[in-house]
Amino acid sequence: MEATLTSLLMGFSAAAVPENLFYAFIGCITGTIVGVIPGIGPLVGISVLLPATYGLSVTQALVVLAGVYYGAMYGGAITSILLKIPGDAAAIVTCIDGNAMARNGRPGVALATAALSSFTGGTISIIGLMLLAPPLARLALKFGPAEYFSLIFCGLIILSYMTGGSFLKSFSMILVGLILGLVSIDHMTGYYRMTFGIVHFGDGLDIVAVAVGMFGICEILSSAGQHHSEKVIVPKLRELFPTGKDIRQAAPAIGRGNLIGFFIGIIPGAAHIISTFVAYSVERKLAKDPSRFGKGAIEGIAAPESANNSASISSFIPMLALGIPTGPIPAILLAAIMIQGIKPGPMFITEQALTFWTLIASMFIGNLILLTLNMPLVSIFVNLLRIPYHILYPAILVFCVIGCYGPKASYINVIVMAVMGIFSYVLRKLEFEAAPVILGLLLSPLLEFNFRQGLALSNGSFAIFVERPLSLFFLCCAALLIIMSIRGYYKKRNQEQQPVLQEESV
Amino acid sequence: MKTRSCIHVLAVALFTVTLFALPGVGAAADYPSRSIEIVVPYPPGGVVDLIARPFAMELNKVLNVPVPVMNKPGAAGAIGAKAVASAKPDGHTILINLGSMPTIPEVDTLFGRPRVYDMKDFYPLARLTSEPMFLIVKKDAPWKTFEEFVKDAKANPKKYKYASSGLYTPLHLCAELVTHTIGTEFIHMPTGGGAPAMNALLGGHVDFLIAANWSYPHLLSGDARALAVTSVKRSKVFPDIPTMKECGLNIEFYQWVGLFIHSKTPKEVLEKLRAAITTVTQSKAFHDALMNIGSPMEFLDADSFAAFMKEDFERNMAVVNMIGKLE
Repeated sequence: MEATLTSLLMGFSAAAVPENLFYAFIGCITGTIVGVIPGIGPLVGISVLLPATYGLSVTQALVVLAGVYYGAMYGGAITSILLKIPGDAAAIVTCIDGNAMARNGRPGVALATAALSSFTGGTISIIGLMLLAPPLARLALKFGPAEYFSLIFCGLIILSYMTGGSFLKSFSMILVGLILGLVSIDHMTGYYRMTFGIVHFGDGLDIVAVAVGMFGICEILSSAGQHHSEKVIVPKLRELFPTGKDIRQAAPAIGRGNLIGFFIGIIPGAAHIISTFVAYSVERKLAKDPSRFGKGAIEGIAAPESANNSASISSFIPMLALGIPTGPIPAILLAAIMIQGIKPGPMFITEQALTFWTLIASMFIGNLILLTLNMPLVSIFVNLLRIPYHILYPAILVFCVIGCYGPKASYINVIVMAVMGIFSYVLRKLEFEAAPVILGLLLSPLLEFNFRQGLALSNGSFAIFVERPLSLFFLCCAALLIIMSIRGYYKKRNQEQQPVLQEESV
Repeated sequence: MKTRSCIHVLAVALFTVTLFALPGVGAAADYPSRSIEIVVPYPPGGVVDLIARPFAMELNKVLNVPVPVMNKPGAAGAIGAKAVASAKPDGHTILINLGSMPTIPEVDTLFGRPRVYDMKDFYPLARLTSEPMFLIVKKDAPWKTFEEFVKDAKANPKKYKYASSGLYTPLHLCAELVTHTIGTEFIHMPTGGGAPAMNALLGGHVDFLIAANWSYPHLLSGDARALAVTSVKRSKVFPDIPTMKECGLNIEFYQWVGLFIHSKTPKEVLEKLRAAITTVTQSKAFHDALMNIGSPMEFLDADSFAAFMKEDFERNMAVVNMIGKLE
């Protein structure tokens, strides 16, 4: 423990140098901007900055790029809350309750809660990273295809609690998402599936294009379709910051979101996105009054925001501790290290101790910078809502198109965005929810790929899913959740029948 | 107020349009007349991307025009390749790609679907690196030498598993070559890329892996061991590892990175570009950058590159035909 504290102090003394602070600042600002613009997410920001980091030292390069990543987790929430258009895929869930709260006249509270939750989630996660990196990384390695499949299956059951309303409706939407997720090259056999000859679909439908289309374009279409001009939300000055009651309500949600994000972040895949969905579902399930969700429940903002920042930090763990990237974003950071001649890998933390601890310290500092930036800016951002929609929305539309076209220079993505936008508009009119579609889209490739990889490893035997202990554990959790759910259903039915029986006996 | 802001907007728009048009004005005769784009058909951070960026910086110094690197990922490199094949053949769009490039159209034909691009659309400019693959096992694996591994594999077909970065990728093709040359059977687990394949080995989910760059940090740290290498000469980076030919297996396989350009590019442009590339490969900065990634320079100019590609292609196609169409 002592050694850790000494190393941390050493890191702080190196990180507090004006040069490193400057780079942390640049990273955070770029991240926030990149997060705010719909369609452009952290991956794009980091890819664009990567060449610029070649002239910098390893520490500075890491500080900038990491700053962009967790900065984007802060920024994405801003447009989600104010305009119900997600800044990036990790901010989709924040749209639901965040925007509801804004429309109730408390946009400042929503923004401030998002900033505070992001800060807390990020900071606690950094402490976890500091103390637990090597053992956690080794744990992550133990996850093979069978374990992933069972984990995601269990997650799918949890996520079914995500939406209220008709179970049939949300389930059918998840199915739509799962089917959309099948559009791709089959990794096991090399066949193109459901791509209709469009080579671009070989890598699947771009999650960003779908998210921006289903939430952003749909929102723009909906407000365009209204006959009267929308009343602009005028925020009250008194209600710009959360009250003590708000904080007390949000605190446990922040804690839970933090834990969820931290552990999901270690797992390969779109960790920062999936963690938001899981955190939201857990809050909804645990809440005493689930009907508050969707109407501006503060937990619905606090938990996902805490989770996505937490996941963005913990996704560095396998990369730093073992030199193994768990997704495209850590992979680019790995490239930034390698091109400087430093070999990432299991020896990184010990051989490059100064770099590691300076990075940790700068993460603390970066989170603090973002909090201090975002809190005062809340009152400025909130004034965005004063701009009449007929001027604001076309500008947002331009950004959405740029965000979908830009990263891969692909006009197909823009078409996907438009089509999904129209589809989502139809869904909204029919009172279906869009979020489960995104969920299905994310999970389908993971579920299918890991299932078939597991079978490939076991040479066709299904027993692999129950033979491997971790996999069995998750399947049991899933079974337990299903049983609890069925019990809950029968209990409710009995309760409804009780008063009828009592009346009859009287 | 309204009229003024309208004129304002118009002025800005006209200015921007002029900026875009300017490079075209007075262009034609001299090459290069505008920025040269290097297309990387993979997501940023991969080995191709890591080689492209230092190369772009050096080319910029030699030719004095901006050399931006564009990532156009998708379909195992096919999307980026198609983009260059459809670009204007004036020498301002260069493709940098892996050794799997010639095999992908063949796989398309094997599956009976139209080819996304064809090798005839391209002129091979230069080969930049050429790396052999290593047969890698975890540090606590039971085999100490390659011969032990071969004996064990022959005696126990279908017992051992390996991971690859996907179907028909260099990792897969090389592994299949080894499988057939040894004369046994392995269980193959395709993953989404080089990194997940390495993860699978380190987590103990598979028994061995055939790989190049992704493995170097783990070989150096001792988490993984290399039993043999697929080049004719021993590797400079790991001179203790025997070649497969030394161990009695006639296997030669390389993962290379090369530059391509549209086949209809005018000859004068090609000459200038080839000269520029040769100058870049002689720069120390580029050499150092490649050493840092662990891919020492193995430069081959256009004609030698074309000859090497032909030989390499025949090697790869032999394996693809051996594998056939996987169901």
